[in-house]
Amino acid sequence: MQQVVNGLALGGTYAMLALGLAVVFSVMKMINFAHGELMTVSGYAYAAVIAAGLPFVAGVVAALLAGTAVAVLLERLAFRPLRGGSATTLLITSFAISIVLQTLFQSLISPRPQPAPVPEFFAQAITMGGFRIGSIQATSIAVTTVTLVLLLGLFRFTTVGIAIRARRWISERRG
Amino acid sequence: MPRDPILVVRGLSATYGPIRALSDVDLDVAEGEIVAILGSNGAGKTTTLLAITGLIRPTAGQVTFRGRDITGTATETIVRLGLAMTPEGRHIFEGLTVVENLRMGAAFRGRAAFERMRDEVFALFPVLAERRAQLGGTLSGGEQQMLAIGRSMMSEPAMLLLDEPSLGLAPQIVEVIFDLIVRLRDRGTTILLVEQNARLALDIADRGFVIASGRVVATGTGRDLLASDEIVQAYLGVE
Repeated sequence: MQQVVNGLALGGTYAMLALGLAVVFSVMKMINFAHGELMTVSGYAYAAVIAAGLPFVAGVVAALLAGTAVAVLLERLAFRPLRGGSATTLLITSFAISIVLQTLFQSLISPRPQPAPVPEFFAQAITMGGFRIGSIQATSIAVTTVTLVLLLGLFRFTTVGIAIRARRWISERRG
Repeated sequence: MPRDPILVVRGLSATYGPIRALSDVDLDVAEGEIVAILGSNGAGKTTTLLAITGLIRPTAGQVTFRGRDITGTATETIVRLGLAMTPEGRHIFEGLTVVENLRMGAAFRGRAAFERMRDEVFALFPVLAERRAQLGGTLSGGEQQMLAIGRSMMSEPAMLLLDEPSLGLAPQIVEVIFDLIVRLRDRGTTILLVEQNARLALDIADRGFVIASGRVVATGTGRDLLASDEIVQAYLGVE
């Protein structure tokens, strides 16, 4: 049972990773190889904010903002000019972005892992119905669940979400 | 012309790479009219619509809609100005429900406008109301055509461009669709209709333009066009 909980927590993390890839793939028909680098950007943003002595919440917000900003920037600079391009072009572009970002991280920050301290709370475990769950695992499961529900709502009920789904059935018409 | 022109096209030309698709096309549509663009396959009928709606960039000419120059304006802006199109082949969103398809037709409008227009479209097309939760791809061809027209009505256009609404539909269904087009006009929507089926189109149209090789070769009322043996034989293929 303990392993089930651990599995759920780890699976949740993978699910979050996969969701990002899947949303992009379903719309763009492209596997974004730079997806992992976007997570790295968020990670470094968090680490930098914590290292600057700011509170945990500020780090989380900075991580979200940084990831979003870089994603938007990539879309504008790299992917938008290639709209309607072949799958191969998009694939190679995402590879290129991935390599460029990795090199930047290595030369500007460090090739070694950076510590990103988390609050005391995450090192503890909570007992629930006879099971001990690390609070970091519990948080992971909770965040995954909430995100899934929110995404479901987005795609079901909002104009933007329905439009994202609709994109699949629009064929490029080039004059 | 009895009423004010809603759409004026002057000297419209367009090319696909080296191929000249439209040369110097002039068109007028007055408010409340049904106007048909006729011609054989590849004559430039669809290209005319695409150039009007900004989906392709004309190389020369001017398109004026409700007194405003819309040449080269972005399609999404043109839709907001009150000009909508139902594309050839319907292009409904197969994996979205009927209601979601309609929602996309009103994507730039608020919730209240969407709900009001949805109810209006359901009143016009009761079968869509019955199938509201069904996926677009599971509808019959005629129902999909209704959905495509309904989707373009969601933006409450002053004028609707219809590209080959009879394509691939059984004759009885075509009749239903054409009855609906007339009803849309009676409700106040000006219609510009592209059709290969000239007889059918001229039955409901006030006027027609015949296009061949990217040029307007004849224009007149439906009766005039059908009365001219030369035009009928050369361009319309009506027996």
